[in-house]
Parts: sequence; C-alpha cells; structure tokens
Amino acid sequence: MEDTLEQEKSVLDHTNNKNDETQYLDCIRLVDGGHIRRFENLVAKFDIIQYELNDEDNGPTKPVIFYAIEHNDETFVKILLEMEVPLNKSYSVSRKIFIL
Amino acid sequence: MVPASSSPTAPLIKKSLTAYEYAHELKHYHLADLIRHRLRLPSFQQRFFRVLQLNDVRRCDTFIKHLRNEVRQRNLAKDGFFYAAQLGSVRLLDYFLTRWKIDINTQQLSNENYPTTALLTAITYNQNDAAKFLLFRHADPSIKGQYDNALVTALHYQSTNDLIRLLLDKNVDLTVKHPDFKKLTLREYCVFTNRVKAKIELDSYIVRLINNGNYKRLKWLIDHGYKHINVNVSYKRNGKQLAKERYYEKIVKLIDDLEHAQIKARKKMNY
Repeated sequence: MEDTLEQEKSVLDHTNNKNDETQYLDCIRLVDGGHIRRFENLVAKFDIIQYELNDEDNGPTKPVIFYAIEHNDETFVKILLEMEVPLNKSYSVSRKIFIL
Repeated sequence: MVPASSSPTAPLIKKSLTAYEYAHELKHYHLADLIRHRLRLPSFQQRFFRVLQLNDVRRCDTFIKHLRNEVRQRNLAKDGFFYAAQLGSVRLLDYFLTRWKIDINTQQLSNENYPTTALLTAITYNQNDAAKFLLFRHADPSIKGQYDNALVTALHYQSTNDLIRLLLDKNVDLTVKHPDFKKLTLREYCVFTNRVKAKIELDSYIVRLINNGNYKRLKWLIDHGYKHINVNVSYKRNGKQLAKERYYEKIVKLIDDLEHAQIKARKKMNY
C-alpha cells in the first residue's frame, strides 16, 4: 500500500477522460487493493453512489461495499458507510448448498 | 453443472443477499454489526437536520466531509444553507456562505412548489436575526417567492418592525401587491389586515424619503402607483408641509400634482 504522489496524479489524470463504467471499475480495483487514499481521491470527483443508484437494469450487479466485506476490510466498510452507500442493494450469489 | 444425484452437493441456488446478510454469511460479524448499526439510524436527511440543530459548525463540517464526493457535498451544503435559515442559526449561515461559497441568492423549491431563497425562508419561519444577517450579507430582497418579494413576505408573516425598516432601507419595491389582495396597495393591505405597526413603518419610510429630499425615489414610487406620499408626520402636519419647510420645491410640486390628480379622479367618479 504505497501511495506516492505520482501514482495519485496518474490515477487522477486518467479519470478525467474516462467514462463512468471504467471509473467504477477503478473504484472496485482500489477497494480490492485496499488503497484508501487513492480511492478517496477518485471518489471526490466520481459520484459512485449516483452510479449505483442510477441504472437499475444494467447497473453493477455487485455494489462496492460487497468487495470491502469480502476482504474483511473494516476501514473501507466504515468509509463506505459514511459515504451513505445504499444498503438496500442486494447481490445475487450462486452457490452450492451442502447437504450433510 | 453437476447433476444433483451424482454429487453430494445440491444444485446451484441463487441467493440474493443484502450487504448485512452478506457480511453475516462470510462470518465477518463486526462488519455486520457496523452495517446493522447504520441501518438502524434514522434517514440521512433527518440525521443531517439533527446535526444542524446542534448549531455546531465543526460537527456539521465533519458530517458533510464524510460524503467525500464533491458534488454531493455541495448539494448537501446547499440544503443545509436553507435549513440553517429555517432554524435561524446565524453561525451556520455564515459557515455555509464562507466555507462552501454558496450563492446567497440561490433558489430552491419550497414544499408548496414555490421558489424560495434563504432570506424568504428565514422570514417565513420568523427568524428575524437570520433574515437581518442575510440582508447584511447583501441578500437580494426583491427575489419573488410565494408572497412576492421579501417585504410582502415579511408583512404576511408579521415580522418585527426592525426587519421591515431594514428591508425598506434596502430599497425593496413597495409598490408590489400581496398576491391574495391584488387590488390593495401594501399600505392598504396593512390597514385592511390590522397591521398597525407595519403601516407606521411604511409611512415613516416615506417621511424619511421626504426628509432626505429623495425626489428620485418618491417620483419612482408615484410612477409605479404608490399614492400615500402625503403622510401625516405628526398631528396637523403632513408630508407636504415637511417638504415645504425643507425647501424641497420639487417634492412639494410632486405631492401637489398627486393630490390634484386624486381630486380629479374623485370628481370623475361622482359624475
């Protein structure tokens, strides 16, 4: 988790001309990697909540908070909760149920 | 897919989980607790309103900063600006104006779908100090809301005299009419609805204009249909005499012309 200034700059420069989907993917990547600072910088410009709320059909099937939960990353979950991400979104998991 | 009969596992089952259930499922109980705690809190707007009620700039700042997104922060700050006007908190109004650089004349739709400004909101909720503060910060009193401009709103909601005087000194248009009493001028409206003090305030404004020899403003008022220029300064002494004493010839002529026109109109009605 090394956040040098140069890295932040490059991330920000890219985001200016990227569309929402790629920015959203970037968010997910940063959550996966646990880069809090860079995530905050990205989210300052990109309205992630609006993106998650907006498209019902072709929107993300797995909201960002689920990634943070998967990684058991408490700080990230806290940040996302503070940002008031919608909590009523559900994520469909296909899984096998073991019968013992 | 592996058929159910040939494996010890059941077929794939699709399960929809919310964030809370998902955290539970993965046995991250502390995360689940965090989410459950958040779910139990009152709605976002309610929480924001409560923070504003505390009248604490620092708490309000943290609350807004938690959103992290700049656009969302700005929108929330704008909402907060109107709430602050409603609560009458000068401290918060100042905070929103200076920290978030919100335009003081920014407009929003009220609950009844009328456009409103922070100044009109403050007057509506009878927050005199907040309204005065906004005027000192150069809020525009002539923006129209449900009850026309700020002066009519102030008269409608029976604001105190000092606010009305301040509004008049900001040269707010007093020739406008109350939307419910289209046929009455503002002074007649004050008489009709028994707002004696407000009426005195309007008259004393005219007296001040005559006193200062503000011919331009008086002429403008008459041209826009305000007729009560020859007010009684004191018992047996009216505006015309005052103007005469001060050698404001133009104003004397103005009042003469006005009275002449009124007499003429009255005669015409009698015929």
